[in-house]
Amino acid sequence: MILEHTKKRVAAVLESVEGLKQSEFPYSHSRIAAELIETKFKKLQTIIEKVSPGTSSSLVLNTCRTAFEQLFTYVPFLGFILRSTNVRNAFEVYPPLLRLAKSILGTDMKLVVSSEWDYSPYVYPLIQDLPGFVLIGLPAPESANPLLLPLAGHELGHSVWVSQPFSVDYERQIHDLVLQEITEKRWNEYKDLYPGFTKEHYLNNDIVARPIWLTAYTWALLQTEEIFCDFFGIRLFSESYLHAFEYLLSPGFAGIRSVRYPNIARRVSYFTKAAEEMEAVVPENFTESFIAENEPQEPMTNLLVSTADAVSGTLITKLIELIQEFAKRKNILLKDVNKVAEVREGLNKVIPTAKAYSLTDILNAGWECYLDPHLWENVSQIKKEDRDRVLKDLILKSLEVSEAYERLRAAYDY
Amino acid sequence: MIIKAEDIATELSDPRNPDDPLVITPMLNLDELKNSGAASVDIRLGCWFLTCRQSRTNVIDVYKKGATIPNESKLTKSYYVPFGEGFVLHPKTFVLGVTLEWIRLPADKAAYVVGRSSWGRHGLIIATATGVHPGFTGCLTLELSNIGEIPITVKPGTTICQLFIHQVQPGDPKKIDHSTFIGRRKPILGTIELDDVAQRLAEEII
Repeated sequence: MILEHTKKRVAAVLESVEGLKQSEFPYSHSRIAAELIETKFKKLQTIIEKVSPGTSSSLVLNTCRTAFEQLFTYVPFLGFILRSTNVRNAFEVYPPLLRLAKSILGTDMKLVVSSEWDYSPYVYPLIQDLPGFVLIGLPAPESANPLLLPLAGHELGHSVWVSQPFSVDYERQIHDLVLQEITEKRWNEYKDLYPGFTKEHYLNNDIVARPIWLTAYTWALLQTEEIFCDFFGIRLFSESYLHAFEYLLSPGFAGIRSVRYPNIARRVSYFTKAAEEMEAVVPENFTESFIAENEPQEPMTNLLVSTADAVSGTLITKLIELIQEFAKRKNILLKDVNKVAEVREGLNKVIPTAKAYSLTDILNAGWECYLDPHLWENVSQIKKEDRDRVLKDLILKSLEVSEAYERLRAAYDY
Repeated sequence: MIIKAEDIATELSDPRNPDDPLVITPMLNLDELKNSGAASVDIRLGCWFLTCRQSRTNVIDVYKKGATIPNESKLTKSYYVPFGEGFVLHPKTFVLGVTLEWIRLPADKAAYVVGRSSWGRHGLIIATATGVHPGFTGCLTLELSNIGEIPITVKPGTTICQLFIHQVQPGDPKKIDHSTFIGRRKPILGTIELDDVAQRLAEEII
C-alpha cells in the first residue's frame, strides 16, 4: 500500500503542476520554476514506476521515503509560485528588482516574488533543484505596497550571504570568537553552570562540552547573517529600508527576544551605525518606535545568548566594511539625493517620473512623500482618504515608466 | 482650439507654467511627436486589464429601489500583462484597459480620447470620445471592444488611441476635475451615480 499511496501522491502533485502551468504568469521565472519542479517529479515518478513486485522491501521503503521528503520540500514552493501570479501583487516592482538582483547575484539568477500569508518577509535563497533561483515572499496584505519593497534588500542579503565565500570565513571567525568570549570573559559564569569542565575542554575536541557552546556559535552565526542582511538592505535602499522596517515591524512583540536576531535595541543601534557609514538618515524617533524585549531568564540560555550577542556585536564594523566593498565591486550606486529630489518634485505635483531613475531613488522619494504631513494639501483633486492609494500608484507607475525608459535607452539614447 | 502635436511637444519639454504643467509620461519618442504634423498625441496601451465576471453578476440595475451595485472586485477580474506578452480580445468581448501614460492636464487644458482608425478598421473600438477634464491626473481607463469577426491580440506599449488636447479658458482652480478616476494606474469600472433629476424621473407615478 505504501508504494500505491506514493504513486498516487506523486501523480497528484504532477496534476497540480499541470494546473499551475496554466496560470497567467506575469514573468517567466515563475513558470520556469514550476517546470523544473515538474521535471523533478516526473523523474521521481519514473523511478517509482520501475519498482516491481520483486523489489526488496527496504528499497521500496527507501524510494517511498525519498518521494515523501520531496513532497514536503517542494509542495510549498508550488504554492509560493502560484501566489506569485496573484494580481494583488504589484507586478511593476518586478523588473527593477530583477535588474538589481542580477547586478548583485549575476545575470543567470532567477527571481520569483510572491505574496505570502506570513507577516514576515522571507526568502528561499538556495534550493537544490531550482538552481540560481531566489524566492522572495512579501506579506500578502502589503503586497501591493511598493514602500515595503526595500525589505526585499534584506532578503537579497541572505542570498548574497549564502552564495559568497566570505560567509565561510565568518563561520571560522565566529567559532573562534565564541570560544574566546567564553574562556576569556565569561569563564566564571560558565564554570558555575558547568562545574565539571575545564577551559581545555572547550578547545574544540570534547564531544560533551562542544554541543553546549556550539549553541552560542549557531546563534552568533545566525545573528551575524541577519545583521549583514539588515546592513545590505540599508546599503541598497538607504533610509527607505529603515522606514519600511519601522512600518512593518514596530513596535514589535513585547516578550522574550528571538535568539536569531540581536535584541531590538541592539539591532536598532547597529542600524544607526550602518546608516551613518552608508549616507542614510535614521528616521526621527526610530529607536522609540520599538518595545524593549526581554532577555531569557534561564541562566544557561542567558549566558549563551549574551555570548552570541557579544560576538555578533564585535563584527559590526567588519560587516559594514564588507558590504561597502562588495557594493563597490558590484557597482551598486548609493541613493542620489539630487535624483531623489527630482522624483519628489514630480510626486509633489501628482506625476510620476519622466525618465529612468533607480529603484532606490524612487522609493526614497516615495517615503519622503509618505512622511510629509502636508503632501497634496493644496491639491484639491486628491481626497485625504485617497492619499496613500494615489501615492502607491504613483510610485508603481514611476517604476514602470523607469522600466520603459531603461528598455529603450540603447535605441533612443535617452 | 485643438493644440497641434508640435506645440504639445514643446509644452511637454518646456512647460509654460511649471507649477501647473501638461504631463504625458512616459513620452518615449518626443522627436516623433514634434515632427508628426498631427493634431493629437498617440497614447499607448498599459499592462493592466479588467474584465467583467459574468458568472457572478445577473444584472446591473441602478434604478431598482434600494439596489446596491456590487463592488468592483465582485464585478470584475484583473489581469496583468507584462511588456512583450499579449491579451487576446475575442469577437464581441469587452474589456477595460488602461493607458501606459500617466496624463496630467493643467487648468487650461482638456482632452478627448479617440480610437485609432487603423485598429478600428480591424474591429477594435477604443472608447468613444471620452472627455478628460482640466485638473485630471492619472492613467486613463480605456474601453476596448472587438466588434469584428476575428480575435485581436493587443500588447502593452502599443499605440492604441490618440489624445486630442484642447485649450480651455481656465476657471476657478478649485472647480476642476474631482472624479474618482483620478490618480490611478489601473483601469477602474467606477460607479454609476444617478443625479437627482434621473432619480425623480425614474420614480413611479402614483
